[in-house]
Amino acid sequence: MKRIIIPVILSIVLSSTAAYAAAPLDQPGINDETVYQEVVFVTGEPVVVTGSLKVTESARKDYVTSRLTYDLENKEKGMKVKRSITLNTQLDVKEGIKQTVSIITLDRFSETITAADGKYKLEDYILNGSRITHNKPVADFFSGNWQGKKIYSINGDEGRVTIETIGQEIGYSHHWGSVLTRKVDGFIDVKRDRTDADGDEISADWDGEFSYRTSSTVNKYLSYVRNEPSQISFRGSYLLTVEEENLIDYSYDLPEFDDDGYPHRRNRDIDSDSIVLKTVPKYQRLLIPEIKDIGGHWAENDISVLYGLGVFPQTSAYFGPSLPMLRSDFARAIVEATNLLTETAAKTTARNQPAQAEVFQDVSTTHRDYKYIVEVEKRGIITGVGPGQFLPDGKLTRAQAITIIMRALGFDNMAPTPGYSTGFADDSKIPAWAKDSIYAAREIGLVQGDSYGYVHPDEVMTRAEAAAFLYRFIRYLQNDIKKDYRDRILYY
Amino acid sequence: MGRNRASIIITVIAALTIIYCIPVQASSLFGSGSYAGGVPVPEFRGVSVIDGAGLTINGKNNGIQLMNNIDFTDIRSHWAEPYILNMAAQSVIKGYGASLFKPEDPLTRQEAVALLVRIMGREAEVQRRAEGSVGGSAAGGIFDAWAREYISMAYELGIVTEGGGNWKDNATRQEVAVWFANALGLNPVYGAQQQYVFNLKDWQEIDASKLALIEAVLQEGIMKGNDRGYFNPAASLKRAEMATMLDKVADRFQDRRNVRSNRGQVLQIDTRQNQTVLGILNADGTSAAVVLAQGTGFPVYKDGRLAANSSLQAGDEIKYVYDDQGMVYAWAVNDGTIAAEVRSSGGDRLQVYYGQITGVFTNYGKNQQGASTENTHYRVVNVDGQIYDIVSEKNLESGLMRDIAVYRDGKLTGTSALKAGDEIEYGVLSGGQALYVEVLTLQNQVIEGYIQSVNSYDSKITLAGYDGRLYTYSYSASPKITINQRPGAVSDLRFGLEVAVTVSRGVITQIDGSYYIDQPGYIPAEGKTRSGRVTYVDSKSIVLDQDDGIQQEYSISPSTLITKEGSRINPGNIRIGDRVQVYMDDISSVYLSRIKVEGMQQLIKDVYRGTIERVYPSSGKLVLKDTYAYVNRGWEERDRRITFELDSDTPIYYGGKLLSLDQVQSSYINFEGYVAVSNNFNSEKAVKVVLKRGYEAQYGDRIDEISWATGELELRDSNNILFNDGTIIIFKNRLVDMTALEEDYTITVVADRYSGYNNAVLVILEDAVSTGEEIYVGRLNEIRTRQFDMNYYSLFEDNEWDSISGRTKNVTFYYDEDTLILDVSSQSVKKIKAADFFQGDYAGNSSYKSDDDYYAYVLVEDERAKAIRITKGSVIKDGSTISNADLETLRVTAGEVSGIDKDLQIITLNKASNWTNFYNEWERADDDVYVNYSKALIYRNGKPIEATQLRQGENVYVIRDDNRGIIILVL
Repeated sequence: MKRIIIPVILSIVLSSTAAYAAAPLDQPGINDETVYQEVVFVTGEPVVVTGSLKVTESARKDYVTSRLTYDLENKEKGMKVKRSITLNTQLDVKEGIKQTVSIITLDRFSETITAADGKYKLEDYILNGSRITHNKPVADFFSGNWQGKKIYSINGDEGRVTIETIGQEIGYSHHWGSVLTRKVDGFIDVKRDRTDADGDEISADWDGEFSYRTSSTVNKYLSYVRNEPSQISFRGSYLLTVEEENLIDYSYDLPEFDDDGYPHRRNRDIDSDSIVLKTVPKYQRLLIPEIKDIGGHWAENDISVLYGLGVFPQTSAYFGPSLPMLRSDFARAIVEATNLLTETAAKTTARNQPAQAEVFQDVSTTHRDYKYIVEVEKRGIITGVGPGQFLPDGKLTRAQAITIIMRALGFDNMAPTPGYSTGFADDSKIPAWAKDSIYAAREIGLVQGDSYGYVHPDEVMTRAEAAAFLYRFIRYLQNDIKKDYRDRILYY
Repeated sequence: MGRNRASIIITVIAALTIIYCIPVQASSLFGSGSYAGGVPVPEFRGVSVIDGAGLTINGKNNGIQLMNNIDFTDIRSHWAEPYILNMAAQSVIKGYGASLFKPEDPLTRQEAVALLVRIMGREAEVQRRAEGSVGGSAAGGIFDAWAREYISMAYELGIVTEGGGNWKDNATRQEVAVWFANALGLNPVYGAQQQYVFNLKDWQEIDASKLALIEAVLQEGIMKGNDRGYFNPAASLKRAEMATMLDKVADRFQDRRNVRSNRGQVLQIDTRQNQTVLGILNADGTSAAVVLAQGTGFPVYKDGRLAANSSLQAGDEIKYVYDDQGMVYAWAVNDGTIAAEVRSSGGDRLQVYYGQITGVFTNYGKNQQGASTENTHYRVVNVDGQIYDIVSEKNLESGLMRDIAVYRDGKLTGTSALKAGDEIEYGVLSGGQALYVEVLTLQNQVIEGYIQSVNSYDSKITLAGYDGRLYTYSYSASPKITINQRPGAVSDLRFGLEVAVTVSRGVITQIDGSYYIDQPGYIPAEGKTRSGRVTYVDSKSIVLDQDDGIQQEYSISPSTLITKEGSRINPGNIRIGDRVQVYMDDISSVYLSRIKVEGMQQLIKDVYRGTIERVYPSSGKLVLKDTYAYVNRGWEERDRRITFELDSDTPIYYGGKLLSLDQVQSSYINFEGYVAVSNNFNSEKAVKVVLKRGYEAQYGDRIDEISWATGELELRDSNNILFNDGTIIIFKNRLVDMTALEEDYTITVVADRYSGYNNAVLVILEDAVSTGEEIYVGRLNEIRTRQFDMNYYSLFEDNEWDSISGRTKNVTFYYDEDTLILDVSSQSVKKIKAADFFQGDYAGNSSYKSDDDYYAYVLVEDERAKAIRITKGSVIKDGSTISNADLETLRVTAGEVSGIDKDLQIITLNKASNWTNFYNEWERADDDVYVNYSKALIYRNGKPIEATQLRQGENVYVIRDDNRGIIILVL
């Protein structure tokens, strides 16, 4: 069973292979490694409480139970929040089509909010949500919806608060980062009778709205660190930085209250604010490339980074930038660049591996790239040029490279129904199997064509061009896709 | 006789040894025994003869001599030539000497028996006996000396049973027939079995005692009647005829003569190391190799000529004779019969396949004898999907090849002629022995129709053709399936799908299906999206500087949905420098279905000046110390130290050139710089950074001229300012690029002065663009239920009021329940309904002005009043007549909201400019401007808002009367 790989919004883990997102879907809160912060609206004004959140999980084959315990307070406003809820997530994994449906329900709950104007106790809580995860070769994509309703009692029988939330989330996770973005709309309805100075009971009913967007991002980026001393064996090398950023941007429309706690008839308090929490970055230095023939080359930077990441094996001091890229080398590069092997290895080390029969007749088990070719075939990234034929020493063409990358992302299905032109001047030369991928690659900005509008599908890629293309792919995974998931939802 | 080429081409040839062959180039190494998809692929190889399965025949070194001996000059072109030569080569016939045979001469009786004795293999014995004898007579008869022992032997062998006679006489046909019968030991045929004899017209002339035997001879086909049915029993026999009859029976006496003969086809001739080797495939399925060392050979009769064995070519069908010493003679018959026999020798053991070669690869291994071999695999995918390898093997130690006969274009070659892509027919014997390969085109047939059923259990597909008939075919294991030109699978084939099916030898190899696509190239609504920064916008088009680097123009139509922060706006509300997402419904359309304008996040909040204290390339941070912010045309001190976030693509410029963070860290610490900052969720993000090189100088004026070529602009006060990519250009809080600059714009410039030139680092454009709202002011004339008229009206355009129309000119607007109507004519502000507007006293009594008149400011959209602000009396507080001059006392101010006082109901604007009618330009206010909003119409993005909803930093456009705000529009 494939685990859903999603960074939990409340998770404390930095790597992109975090545990289930069994997060309380309807709490407007975020966290970093040390602290959890949440906005509470029950009292009629937004109060930010800070404290701790503990998550314990027990997972079985298709069933996960998570228990979340909150202990939060805001000393200045005199508010304390204690909450404990248990969520059940039922997983329905469809191996064949590589999709997983999760259904989330609430099992147990208990919550008390002690505020300056009363004690709020959670009497009833309903939460239902569902999520679908699409496992593509290189990345997982998911989307979910939920709805929740909470009913509090105020000071016993003095009043009732009903909060209803509707939310949706979207996100992805891959070796180069992950994003989880949520949009939630909430409605508060309060029925309350307050005793005024004269001892009369006056209605202090009010209602309000709030909405928030949260974004949890794991960023991985590369930077070059130059060495100051000249008498050292390497001029500089690359640094991989991993950092998680969680932010919440909330806006609200609540009534204005007078000093006695009665809401204004007409005046509203409408505003918005945001909180950002970042983790302390984690560093990892990359290997030093010792290559003799790329100094000053236009792709020198790209090639060095890829060596540092282990995408190209350092078996020779020469890269051969103008030599044609071979299919087997590209298969290896894709697997290393997106870290596909470690996942597979983790799952199969336990079992006793039977002697391998060759998957492709022209790739023997002793071929230097055998395990990479097996991996890309298994994931459907590269299928071969004919029945049983991989053609490992074949030269990679641009059409092949683009199709391989788009298949790895799983975006080749985003193309229009067949019978269209991709818009490139040499559209007629694009092979039918590559058309959808080239269209999708242009849409996501990976491929633009040259200044005349040609995409040159049958041109052989040199090793330098392939390195640049792979690095562009990595940068796409690092930045561009993040913009689509985060900026597009948060900024517009 | 000619060679029947066609029959040779179609020939199936049994497994063959090709002993020497041209070596095949080796390619990549990999393990022996290959697999496809984990299943081992069966291999077919040629049969090896050298390994012991076939026969080796040497050459004789008297071959040439023999050839000369039998080279009779008088039989050339004779019909019996090949038979004569065959018999001569086998030393049955001797000739007359001087290379003469005399084929037409009659055969003598002694000659006849001698020939029969010879053919029965008794020549040597006769010669021995003859050494000691002389002519005379023996056992009756007259004969020549040489014939004595022959005759004697003939009696011994039982050839001749009757006595004597003159052996020098011509032999009669019937007597020779009987001798043949005796020699062969034929049984006489009696009675009802006698068929042939009585069909002869002259049977009665046959010696009755001989009839039975002659019948047997006729039945054996050794002799026959002539064309007219006459046997001519008493006639003489020509020598040529005798030769022919001998040839017919020669094989039966092979053993006695110690010769062997066979029929087969020469498949390969190779010369190597002073040896010529002929590979022959026999009609009985066996094979033979004739190894001719230098100086050896044998005669060949071919194409009507007698020649040496070098005249033989691969493909020749031969009848050949050999003995213990080696090859004797060969006759290249080349009539196709031998080839057909060779083919049928395979019998049911021969399997014929059709397929296509998909690849060629080489590996290495060891053969049965342990010798290293280089194996060339030709991978064939049959039409039924089975995969086999045809393998030709080369023994690396001996150089010998085990190859297979390949026919291509009518020529016989080896497997080296095969290449990937070839369509072939090949025959395989049981035991995996490939007999032959023929390159041809698999006759493909294309059938079009609709899928009726797919039976995956039996791998069969039935389709209903256009002609109405049903066709059922098996499909191969991996047929090539496309649906709508996209790769598909068998599981995608549904009932009713229209397909074109390619059938190859009864098996489907390709299926092209097509579903009717209602809309090719269809994407869902808003399925195509781009994002970028606006460089130009009007009501019909918008130009973006896209994130993919392309400048693209798009068209806006009335149905384009334009939103900003969730509410709908007009194209006029989009500003240059805004970041937008655009959506299209069609992949080839430039009409936008939707535009989303970015919210507050990307607006420039401030521009800071400070000293670079530190930069962190790995975490994208920049620390500025001793900071100032640009406010109201001057620098205001700010925090001692501010840390800014940097994006991965935040540009940092110095002298117009881009720097990397790394460079900044190493070489530009402690430089002064300017940072344009946006508000990124309560943290400040640097959007553009420009480092200072020289000294700061400030300018502010109208642009007189712009020279794009040199990147220079000239202000009205004659100052020249250079600008480049590294200039921060801000236009109403938005970062724009150089193309936004236009002549006559008023700008404020902070320049970096070095080398005598002013290089703009910060340019702030003062001009406000259109507000996006249509604003009228006028006297309320007539009010009807749905419409109202105004006369004495004026339209606000280009920051100014147009000339006022007179009494008779009216402008009409619609109004409805949703129109925001404010009555500010009294102390308090009243919001009234449409009904109140109609029923109230607002309309003028007549079209003439009076003091009771009500005036209104109206915000209009498509002739509909969105908002009406009603005041009593003329718009001027204490005027009595309206004139342009009066309107002109209204002020127009643009600025940034810096504070809101809810109690006093005042908003504070800083960085404010006022429009001066006199100069027709904006003039910077030196101080903050205060505007009372209690009676103002406040609009943002085309919708009314409360003043409290105004946000700090927002740009507003205010039409005011002194400090009283009339209309406040958020830009």
